[in-house]
Amino acid sequence: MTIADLLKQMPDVRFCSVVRLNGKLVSSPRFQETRIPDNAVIYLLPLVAGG
Amino acid sequence: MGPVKLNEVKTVSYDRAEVIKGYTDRSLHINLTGNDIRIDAIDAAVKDKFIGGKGYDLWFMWQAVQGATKWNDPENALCISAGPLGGTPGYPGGGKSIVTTISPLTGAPIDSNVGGYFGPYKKFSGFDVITLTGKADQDIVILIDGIESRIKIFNAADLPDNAYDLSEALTRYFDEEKPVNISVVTAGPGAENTYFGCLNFSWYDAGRKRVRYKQAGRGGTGTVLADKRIKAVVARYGAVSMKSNQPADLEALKTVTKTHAKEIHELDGKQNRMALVGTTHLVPIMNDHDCLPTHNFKFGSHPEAAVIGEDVYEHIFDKGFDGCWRGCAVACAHGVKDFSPFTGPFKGTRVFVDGPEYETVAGCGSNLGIFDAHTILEINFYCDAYGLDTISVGTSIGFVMECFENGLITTEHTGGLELNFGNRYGTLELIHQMAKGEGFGAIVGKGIRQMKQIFADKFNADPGFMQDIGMESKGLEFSEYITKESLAQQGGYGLALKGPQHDEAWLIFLDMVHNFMPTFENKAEALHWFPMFRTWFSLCGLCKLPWNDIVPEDNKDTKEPAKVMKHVQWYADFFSAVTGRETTPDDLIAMSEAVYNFQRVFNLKMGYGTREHDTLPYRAMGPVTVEEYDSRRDRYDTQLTDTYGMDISGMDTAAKVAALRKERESQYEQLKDAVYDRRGWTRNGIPTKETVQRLGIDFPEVLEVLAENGIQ
Repeated sequence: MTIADLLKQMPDVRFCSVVRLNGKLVSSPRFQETRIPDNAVIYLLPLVAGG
Repeated sequence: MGPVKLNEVKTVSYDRAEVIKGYTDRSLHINLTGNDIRIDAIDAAVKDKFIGGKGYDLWFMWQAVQGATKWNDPENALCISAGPLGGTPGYPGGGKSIVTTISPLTGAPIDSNVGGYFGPYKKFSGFDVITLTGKADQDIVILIDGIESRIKIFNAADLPDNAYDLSEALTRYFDEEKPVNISVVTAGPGAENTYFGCLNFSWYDAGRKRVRYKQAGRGGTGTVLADKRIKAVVARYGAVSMKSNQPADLEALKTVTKTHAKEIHELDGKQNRMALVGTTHLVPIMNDHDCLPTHNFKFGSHPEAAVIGEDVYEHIFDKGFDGCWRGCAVACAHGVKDFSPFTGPFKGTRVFVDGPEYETVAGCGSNLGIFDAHTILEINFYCDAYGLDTISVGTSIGFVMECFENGLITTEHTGGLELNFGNRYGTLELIHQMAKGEGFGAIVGKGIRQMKQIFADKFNADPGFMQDIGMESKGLEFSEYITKESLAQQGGYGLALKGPQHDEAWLIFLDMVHNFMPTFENKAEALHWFPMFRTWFSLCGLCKLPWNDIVPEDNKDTKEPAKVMKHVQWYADFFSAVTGRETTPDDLIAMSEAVYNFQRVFNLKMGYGTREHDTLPYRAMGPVTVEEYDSRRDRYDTQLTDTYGMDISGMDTAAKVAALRKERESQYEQLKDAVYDRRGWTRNGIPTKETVQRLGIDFPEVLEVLAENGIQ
């Protein structure tokens, strides 16, 4: 399963453009290509505020 | 470093005003021409309308300067205030100072929000705001001693030139036994010799037993301090607690402080991890979204960006508590110990580097083609020690490098420096030259606006191309975000009162990634609300990071997630608890709107503040060169065909660049109209009489400035 697949299954994730996958940042342009390994810990970063 | 020698030339004892509900209701004015020291009561009407912080700074600056005042005239005032909520220990980001002055870069008011303990210590010593005017006839140090209730002016000779040693020396000098009682504001030799000198605001890090500092970076505040021949302003104060502000409702203050701090402790580790990596998490995120300035904002990403982001700095940063105010839960002010520079006066020694933050990494790293964490640390160290703003340094040198690579300037002009992108030694050499005011660095230190003029007049460089690629607006260098694909953020930069700094509005993701504001009216609404709310932090002496860089887990379920209204309500509660003034979220916006519009009129008073000054270099809007267009050819081709309905089959790239430019420049002008309408300004960008009346800032002097500009 990729990050994009996971997000498709979740409600109201429109503000999620970055996640932490096992501690590493993954941004939305890479959601499609990034596979989620078994037993991964994933946090959705709610929105990027900047500055 | 020898012993500090200071000769006391003036001492004034005073009755320290009690802090009640966050205010002392006293202002301190020091005129260095004659060493005049005056303490005034602050009028209740000023308090009601200007709130504190930046509001107070601007009000007292307005009284000090005339429309014709230049940055280096004696009457220019350097103002520092903390705001009524500043100095609340434990409240995340609760100890900021706000500095304003007439900027050497822009000629208009600049404001800068900075950590360190000075603002709170100054307030607890009896003063909501201090104004420094005049010029000393020799180097001086000012002490505001809240423990002994004395203000002292010293003649200072043979002090260390650099802020790194000077902050440490003065901290030890003024309270050897309890250095934590001292906060020092310094500039440095770079501030004396450039137009973008910064101020370093210190605090004593008791855990590491050393002096640390944060920077009021933007717009040349340090240059003004140096021009007044002030080597340092020192505040001395003792124990601080939650009672120090004598809040109206201590229990309510404790509750909201604990609630906000607890949430940050629980969520930061799951979100941006700022307590571990500061703001360096933004480097890979911006890179992935094509927003990381690379090679003078030409590109938005680079394959090597990973080596200058959080993955590297997390392991380099020294472990320990890194709050720039007491008990701050965000604690993002990281640093690196035992760093050994490979150039300059500290070469081969071991120093502590405060930073880097995202802006420094992007501006002095990727933007210069330098993908080396060590070199970025060295640039960071010297900029701070010399008193140079890392944003203006990075953006200015990026401009120089692109000019060099395009043959607009050559080694004949640079004193032999091969200033290609990626030249680490050349960059550091330029910074050392800036500090001394020597060589080509002396020209770079004047900032991009003046460099464009000098390169055109003296080096015969193409002024049109430099206008397009010189990343400045209003005379201030851009902070470090690519805005080409976010019209809203183009407005966030171009319509910012002081120039292109992201602290007014940061809308890139809401606009570009989430398409949250598809219409001009949506964008205009955002360019009203966000600058107003962000302004409020600087009225009160707070940091904005705790507002929306760590957000509640249920934020997405709220009506307006982008505003993080749960936190906005907490800030209203915070304000009510300290000041006793019952406050709603809407009240916070109203407070800011009055000060914001006053600042716009202040710009007008100084000869700016109209539509023509809200312009951007085209690179902020779209691709200037064929190379730039080709780097995102699919994106731009699609926009020309799908968005603008053009047939591009017979167009070469140069023609496409021109066609896209026409559309994007037109969009930006339409955005200006929409924003001016929303803010209650004329189409020339001036607040209407009705607007200033509605906001209660229709003072005679404000109406006079409006009348002089055709607003009756």
